[in-house]
Amino acid sequence: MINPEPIWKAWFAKHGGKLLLFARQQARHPDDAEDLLQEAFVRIWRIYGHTGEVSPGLVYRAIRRLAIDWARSLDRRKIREQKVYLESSWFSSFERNLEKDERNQALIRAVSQLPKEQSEVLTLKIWGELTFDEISRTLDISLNTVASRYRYALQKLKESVPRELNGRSTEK
Amino acid sequence: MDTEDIEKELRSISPVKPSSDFCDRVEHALGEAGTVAMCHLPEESSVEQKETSPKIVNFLQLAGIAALLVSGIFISIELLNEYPFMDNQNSSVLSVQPPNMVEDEDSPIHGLTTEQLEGYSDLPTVGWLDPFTEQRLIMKVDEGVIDRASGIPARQFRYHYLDETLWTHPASETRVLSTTPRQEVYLIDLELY
Repeated sequence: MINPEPIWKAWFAKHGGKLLLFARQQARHPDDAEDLLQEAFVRIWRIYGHTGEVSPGLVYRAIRRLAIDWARSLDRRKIREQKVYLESSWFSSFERNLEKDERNQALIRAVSQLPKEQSEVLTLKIWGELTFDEISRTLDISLNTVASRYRYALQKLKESVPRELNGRSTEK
Repeated sequence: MDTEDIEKELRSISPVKPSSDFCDRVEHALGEAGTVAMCHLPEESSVEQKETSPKIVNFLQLAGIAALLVSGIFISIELLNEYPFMDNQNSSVLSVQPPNMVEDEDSPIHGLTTEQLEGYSDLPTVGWLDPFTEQRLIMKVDEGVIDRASGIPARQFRYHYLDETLWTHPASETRVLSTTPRQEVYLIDLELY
C-alpha cells in the first residue's frame, strides 16, 4: 500500500538541518537563509523529486548559486551592516549540548573565524557529509584546492581551539 | 590534540533541524511537486492489509457483485442458447417463462437462484473473505517537457500502476485475482528563465 507521506519530508528531515547550516553560511543576512534553502530545494525537487532520490549535493550547489545571485542584488553597505548578525546566526545553527557546551562553543566560534573559503569546505565535509569530489563540484573549485582548504581549516582549528579554551579558563 | 580529534568533535555537534513552520512553508512552496514521490512503508502496509476501511470494503463488495453479475450474464446467454424455452426463430428475447425460474433476492441475476448460479459458475456465492487490494507501481516515465495551453512549460511524468484485487473463499480454497492497469500523469510547472 502507498503511504500518503511524501518522500520529500523524510528527505528534508534528514538533510534539512545540514542544508540550512550551509545556507546560513552562504546567506548575506540570517533571515535570507531559510528563503535561500526553500528556493533551492523547491527548484531541485521539482526537477528530480519524482525519482524520490535527490543527491544533497545538487541542493548545496543550488544554494550557493542562488546566494551569489542574491548577493549581487544587495549593495555593499548593507552587506557590511549585516555581517555582525551572521556570527550570532551561526551560533544558533547548532543544537546545544550542555555537557560539552563550552568546548563546542569554542569550536563553533573558531569555525566562524576561519576564512570563508575554508569554513564552507569544512561545513560541507563535516556536516554536509559530502566527498571532496562533491565539494569541488558544489563550489566550482579543483579537488586539490578543496583538500588543501580542508587541511588548512583543521590545522587552524587545532591551533586556535585550545588557545581559546585556555583564554576562557583564565578569565574565570 | 590532532586533526582527527577535531573532526570527531565537530561531527558530534549537530546542526539544528528546520522548524516545523519552515517545513510547512516548504511544503506550501513545493505544491504538487511534493506529492509526486510517495513513501512505501512496510509496517503501515501490513496494518492496511489487515484493516481495510469500510468504504473500500463496500466498494469492493459492489465490484465483486458486479463481477458475478457479468459472469452471470454470460452464463445466461449460454443457457438461452441451450434451452428450448428461447424462441430463437422469431425473436431474440425470452418468449416463455421457464417453470424453474424463480425469484431469488440474494441472486445478482434475475431469474437465476444463487444455487443455480453456483452450479453453472462452479463458484460459491457465500463465504468469501473481504477482498485484499494492492496498488503496485510498475514504472514511472519522464516524458520530458511539454508546452501547456497556458504557455507555461511543464515536465510530464507518467506513473504506471497495477491495481490488484484478490477474493478468497477458504472453504473451497478458491481465489479470484483481478488486475487492472492504471496510469497517472503529473505535470510539474517549470519556471521560465
